[in-house]
Amino acid sequence: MASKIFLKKKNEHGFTLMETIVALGIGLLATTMIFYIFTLGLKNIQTIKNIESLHSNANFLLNTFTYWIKQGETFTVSPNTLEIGMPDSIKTITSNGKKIIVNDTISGIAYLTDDSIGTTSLNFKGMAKSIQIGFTLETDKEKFSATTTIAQRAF
Amino acid sequence: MIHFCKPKKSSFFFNNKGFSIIEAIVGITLAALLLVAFTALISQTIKINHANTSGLKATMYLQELIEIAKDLEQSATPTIFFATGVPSPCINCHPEIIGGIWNLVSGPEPLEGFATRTMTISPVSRNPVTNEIETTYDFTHDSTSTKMATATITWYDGSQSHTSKLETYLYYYGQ
Repeated sequence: MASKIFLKKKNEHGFTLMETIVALGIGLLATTMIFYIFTLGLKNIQTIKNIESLHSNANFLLNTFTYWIKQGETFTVSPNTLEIGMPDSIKTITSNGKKIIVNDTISGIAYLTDDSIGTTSLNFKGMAKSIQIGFTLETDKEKFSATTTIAQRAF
Repeated sequence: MIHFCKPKKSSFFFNNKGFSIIEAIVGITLAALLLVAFTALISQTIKINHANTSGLKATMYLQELIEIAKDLEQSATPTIFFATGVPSPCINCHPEIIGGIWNLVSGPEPLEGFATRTMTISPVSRNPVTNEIETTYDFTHDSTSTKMATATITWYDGSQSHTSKLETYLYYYGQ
């Protein structure tokens, strides 16, 4: 009795070849579109993260440079290196082509940029009572360049 | 025998009728709406990214003007504090490096094609009794040792124009 119920054939016709091909085509198209949109979304999120990272690194760099230059008493400026004589130590700021490095005579070497950030240029120019700083930070695809000036403190 | 076309059935899902024009239009409209919404989302994201970068750069350029004013405060005291025969050494001017030092040049400064910045150095008066800076300038109480530097930047972020302003006082230290 039970087997009769489950094996009862109500409709012996399956999908036609045409229906199957059309359904597969539509399914493939929908999958491709969804995958494309999803990938584009992920790329956008990555781009936003990269830009945000560039901005925060640039902000941190400028805040740090400002703090040190305002504290500095003596300055030795060359195109790619800045040496700041602080009240208790000497800081030498330079770039190795990938990261911005500060070498302090007391606390040693420290990096001023993230591992994910590359530094393609770092330039200094000594003015009468200020220092002009130019830098370019970049990730895989995004780039952020800025040139700014930081005045020395008036003693 | 292989059936390439289904036989007639009365069910909703199994009939020989194709899509009606209304169904086709509704389907295409829905797909178009989704596509337009997604494109708008991506476009908006790109715009916001561009606006953020422009805003950050504009802020840096604006802060730089204040820093340059602080450089001039120490390096160009005759120009800033003792300019004779002119009401102000700089009205809507901009700084430029000439001969390795900052100089004030008249007119706004275009920046990277998206912004312009200007600086104005104004006289300041102090109350003769309290020596405090007066909110409204009174030329009879003019303070030769104090000036106000106003930095202004106007930039376009791709969709709208913005203006930011910063002010600082410049002091003559008597070097």
